[in-house]
Amino acid sequence: MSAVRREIVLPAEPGQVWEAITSPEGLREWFGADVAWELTPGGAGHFREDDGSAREARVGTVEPGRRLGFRWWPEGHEDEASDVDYELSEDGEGTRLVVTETPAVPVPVPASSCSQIGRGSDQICCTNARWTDWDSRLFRVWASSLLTSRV
Amino acid sequence: MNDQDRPDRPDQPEGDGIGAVFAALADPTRRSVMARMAQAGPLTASQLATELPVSRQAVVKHLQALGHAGLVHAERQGREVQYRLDPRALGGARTWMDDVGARWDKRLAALERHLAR
Repeated sequence: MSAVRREIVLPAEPGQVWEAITSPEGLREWFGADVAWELTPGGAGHFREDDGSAREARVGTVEPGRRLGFRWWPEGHEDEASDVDYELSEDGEGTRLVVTETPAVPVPVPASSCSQIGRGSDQICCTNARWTDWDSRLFRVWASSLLTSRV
Repeated sequence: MNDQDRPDRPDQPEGDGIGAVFAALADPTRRSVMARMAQAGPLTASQLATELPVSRQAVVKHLQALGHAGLVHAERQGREVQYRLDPRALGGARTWMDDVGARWDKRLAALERHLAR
């Protein structure tokens, strides 16, 4: 699962949305940051936000018009990194945009600590775990109940 | 997880940070482990294994992952190791979700306005 997930249908074609979320000119208009990045897997990026804070980024998935993924973190604090993923799809006259952001795992948890032992033994399976059966609203209720429980 | 050596528990939860918390919680068995401990209090791996459809060995691995995230602490009680739930790290995860979610709400509203022009 993604820790944060937002979905919106935008009044524009996927190509226009792609331009808005990737080009420095487009981002300047709505994101609230000056962005410079190399839009290729592994490409470096830099966000200078209007509040004065800065973030570094590393581009992951790039599928023009469909999908963009990147990891970003407050400048100098890669241990606070999180992964952002945009997914675009046509929706009638517009574009459905799904944005997710999930904290990156700072220290790889060995595969042996995970439930699917033996599956992708050289992989860090915990980082591939998805909260597909569980949305963030449920997390909130669940976390609240545990935080108030007597332990 | 040699937490029995620590004289007192610090205010901040120990662990590898919010990323480790979310990774640990992504697994439904680990959530079951935490829910069980929230109801019953500290438990041993053997006790958890009798109540969950997984082996004791698997329970130990899940407890290790939860330990990395600072969500459980091991405490030696005589010959046994008991695991105690520490839900404080969940509070940090919840705050992170609220803050990051609010930022995306703001950004996407701005994106919608930008594209509607």
